[in-house]
Amino acid sequence: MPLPCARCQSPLPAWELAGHDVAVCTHCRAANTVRAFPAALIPPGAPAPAEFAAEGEAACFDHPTKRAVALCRQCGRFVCRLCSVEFGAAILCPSCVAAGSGQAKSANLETSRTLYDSIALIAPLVALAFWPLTLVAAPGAVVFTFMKWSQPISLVRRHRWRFVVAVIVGLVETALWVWGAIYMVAAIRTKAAV
Amino acid sequence: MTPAPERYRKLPGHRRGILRGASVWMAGDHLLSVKSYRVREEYKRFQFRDVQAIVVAQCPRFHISTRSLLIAFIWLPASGVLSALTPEWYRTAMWLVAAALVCAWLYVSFAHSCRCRILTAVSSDELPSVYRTWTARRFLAQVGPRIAEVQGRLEGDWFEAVDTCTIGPGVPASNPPSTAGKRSIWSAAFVALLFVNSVTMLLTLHSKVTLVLWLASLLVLAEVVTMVPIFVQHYRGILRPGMQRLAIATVVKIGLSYYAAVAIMSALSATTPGMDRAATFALPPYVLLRQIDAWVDLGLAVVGAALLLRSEYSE
Repeated sequence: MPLPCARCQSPLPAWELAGHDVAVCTHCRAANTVRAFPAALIPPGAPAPAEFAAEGEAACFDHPTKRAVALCRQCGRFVCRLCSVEFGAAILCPSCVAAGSGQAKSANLETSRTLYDSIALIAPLVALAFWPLTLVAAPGAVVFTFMKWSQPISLVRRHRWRFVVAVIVGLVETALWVWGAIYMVAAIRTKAAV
Repeated sequence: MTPAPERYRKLPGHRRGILRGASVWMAGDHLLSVKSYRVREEYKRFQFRDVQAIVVAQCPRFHISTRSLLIAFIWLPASGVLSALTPEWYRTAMWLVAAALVCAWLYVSFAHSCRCRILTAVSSDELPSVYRTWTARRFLAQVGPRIAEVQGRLEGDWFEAVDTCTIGPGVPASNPPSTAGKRSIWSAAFVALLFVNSVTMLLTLHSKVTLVLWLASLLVLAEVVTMVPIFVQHYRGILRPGMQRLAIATVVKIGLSYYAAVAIMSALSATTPGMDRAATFALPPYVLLRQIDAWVDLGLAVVGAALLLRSEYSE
């Protein structure tokens, strides 16, 4: 399919793309700003020609008839063009990637992360909406923070300030509970003495 | 040896919602699209060498960010306090500021919003964080040169060559999503009820007649009744998500308004015991609440009308 409209995904006509900064979609009339790159002109699905290993040449570990083009950074096996998996500057073999250990256990493989710092912060704050829950949520947030402090947080955020705020909020709420309990006990004792 | 973690640089645009958020980050050789669900993040990477095109289409987007909600939450108690302490003209000025802010949001949502897609040979993904045109311009200005650095630039009559190539995952051209943008009799009735309810409330703000309050309650009930088929029709694919979101916003507004009314009534009963229930409806805090309720309803009705006007009739 030629370049699609970002709104309705109908193809944008070539005459709209020619010489204009903005291409108007003929289906939804949306004005599209297009930045196309050379990868768009590469014909799809053309497999690389088979590169067979000649006599005396290094061959792929998994495909002994194919010529090796690289070395797995982790296990050192030879890999052919088909087997080489790129991670930035490093090349790994499919076995190391599947095992997901060592260098292959890179952030580049992760597709999701649980944000423990956000959980620790949200719990005592949301509990405020129904304050008796803070009796559990506040100390829970403090304990949870200490348990999960060393766990990886967001892939893009580098600060753990949510953990710090969660501890402060949790401690303040716990202190208020303690103060309330002491106050009530003192009030009951005073009433009993009178 | 564990490799050093990739350093990411944030790119222009950040979608901040109550439950969901999104942003795009740039690394040495790829873009990282981050979708955030408060306690979880999902990542998708786009290698610079794989990006075929980035397309930005101008279209209305009605996103209520957490910042605008924060402004509303600051404004509501501020207006309540000021209405009790300051002269009439100050209150009017506050309302004018609120109206100007709503108008500005509507204008920006209609005229300066967009949808951004990034296309590779196997995917066509929307970047939800790029939803304003000025953000899209800054985004393209930063990302375009970086991709061109890796791939080079398209020269000459590239658009003719592109016309014969397959870009993106190859959705059949003859099958555009034509079902989008439909409306039903229920959605029209729902929007009409929102209008009627808001106008009725604005016209009867200072009324002490119980019948008027009953009428308002009936209109709210009718709104709720029309919402049920809207949810069903959205589930069946007859209605676009916009109308369903409007119905959800209305449900949330009805809930908040109900709890606020109960709180105000309780406070008034506590401060002035023995007061006639009908008389409390004409007191300033309750009138202010109804005023806010009416204007929010009117805003929702305007958004609903906009959704209806830009779609076709389905029945």
